[in-house]
Amino acid sequence: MASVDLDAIRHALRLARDKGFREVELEVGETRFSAGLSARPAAPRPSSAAPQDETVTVGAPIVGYLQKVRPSLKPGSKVQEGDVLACVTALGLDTDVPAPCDGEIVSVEAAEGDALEYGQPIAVLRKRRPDA
Amino acid sequence: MFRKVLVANRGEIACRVIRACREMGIRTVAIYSKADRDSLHRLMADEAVCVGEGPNGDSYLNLGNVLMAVQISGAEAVHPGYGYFSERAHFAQALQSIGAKFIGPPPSAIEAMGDKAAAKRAAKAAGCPVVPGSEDPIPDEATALRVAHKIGYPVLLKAVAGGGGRGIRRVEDPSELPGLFRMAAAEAKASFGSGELLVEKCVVAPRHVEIQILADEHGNVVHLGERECSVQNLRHQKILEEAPYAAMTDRLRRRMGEAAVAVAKAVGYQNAGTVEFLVDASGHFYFLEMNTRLQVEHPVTEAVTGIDVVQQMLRIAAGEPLPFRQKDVRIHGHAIEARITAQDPERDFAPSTGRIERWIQPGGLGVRVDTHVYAGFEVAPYYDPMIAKLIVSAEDRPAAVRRLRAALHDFHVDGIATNIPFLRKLVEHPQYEEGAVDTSFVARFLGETEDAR
Repeated sequence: MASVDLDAIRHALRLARDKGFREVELEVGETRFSAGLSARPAAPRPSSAAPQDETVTVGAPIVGYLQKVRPSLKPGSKVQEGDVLACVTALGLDTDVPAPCDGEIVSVEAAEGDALEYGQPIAVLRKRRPDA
Repeated sequence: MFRKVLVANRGEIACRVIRACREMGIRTVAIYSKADRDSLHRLMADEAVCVGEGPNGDSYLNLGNVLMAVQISGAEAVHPGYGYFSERAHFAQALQSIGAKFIGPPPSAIEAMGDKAAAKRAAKAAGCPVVPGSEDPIPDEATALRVAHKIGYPVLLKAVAGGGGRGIRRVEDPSELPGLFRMAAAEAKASFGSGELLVEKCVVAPRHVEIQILADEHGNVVHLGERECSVQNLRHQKILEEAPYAAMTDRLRRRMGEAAVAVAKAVGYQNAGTVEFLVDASGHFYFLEMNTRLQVEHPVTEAVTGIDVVQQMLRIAAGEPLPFRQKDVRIHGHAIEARITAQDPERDFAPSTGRIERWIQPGGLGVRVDTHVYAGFEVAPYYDPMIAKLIVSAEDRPAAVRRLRAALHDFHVDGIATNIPFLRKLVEHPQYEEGAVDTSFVARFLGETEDAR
């Protein structure tokens, strides 16, 4: 008997959330799974008590090669949350590397074509202060 | 021989494979999750690639990341260890597609043994005894009575859809069969969604005896004798394993070995594998299943044969012929393995996690400890609770039991709970000392200690 396994559901939900989809429907044989997603899950808001120059490391989301490095991926660029900075390519598929928050790129830690392990730093961002 | 091998596993077995590679002059690549940053396997390997977060699905079972780790490291071959991808034919195929060799059997052999019913048919076709029973679901009580009469009581009624010891009823004689049949069918329907039942002979006081085989790519298949793994916990997980089987005779070993080799040949097996049997009190043996991978308890075989099973796996995968024949394999002495787990015997064997504050492991002649942990290591909640294997060997079984008792006495772990106190008591039991334990021993032992409180 075919059934939707939990990992597939988890994967689909994560993908839907990342792409900003509102509905997810999975069908395997007779089994169906559907869900509605709220517009944007409450993302952790930077607290006002955060240090002024809080930096965030953007790590590789998967193991693969750094490809399609965007012009914005250079020290000094201002980026917005969700801006795609580059891709990590694995087994012929690209996975976007988005900026995790609004901010400014402080340093770039990997170059086009580099092999990356999971979580390996690609860039360091300085978060834009809420009041800035 | 390979120049670089990636070990697609974690824990003690990853360390074990890395050690074998080092001795053979092969560079190693470890994969690790963020939770295993401090694991010995990561520190021992020449290179290491992080493949994800702590949970297995995000890291060790993340196929894309594991395959990419193979690709970016340039490893020519992958050892899967046990568990994880070791018995997934698709993994072996995927590796092939990226030009890496799977250190294990061909995908077709994994598949042939993966389905229990098909494996049993293959064993039967190879002339290997199987537990007598119905091959197809039994439609009604009358048929069940007929089949049971033919194979002899006691019999088991087994839910086709059951597994892992669930959905099984024992029937002692014909008078109770109809009632139990109806009850078992109703239960199976309620629990598994299918009321279909099989009738199988009940092997009384069974011993779990398995045969290690090695098969090269040139048609040579040998067996390395047996291991006995009857001391299992209530979830059918092995706790103590030994080689040889205390009640083994040369004749029975030869017959079981030949049967195991025949099964392996029938499915075109290559590399290391294990054929599991049930052996009853009168020495009849029945095929149970074949494990198409390296097993946790392989060190007891290594101890009594002097053959490094992991190094042989690497050689076989590299296309080398086996360097010995069946007549060259000799069994010397006796070895016992105890699985050391981070489980609290005082709390129904609940997993124990946290920082190991003190780790004092036994040593000396005939004492081997395979582990990935050390004092200061943090035991994460994501993985199997086994944190070490203690393997002792000596000239005969009584000496091995004495050595095991002494080694357990000298094994001290603080910071987390382990099953060591439980193992100490278990190996003191007179029945264990005699070697007269079947697969229900631990259940009875736990009952006795409960009564003694």
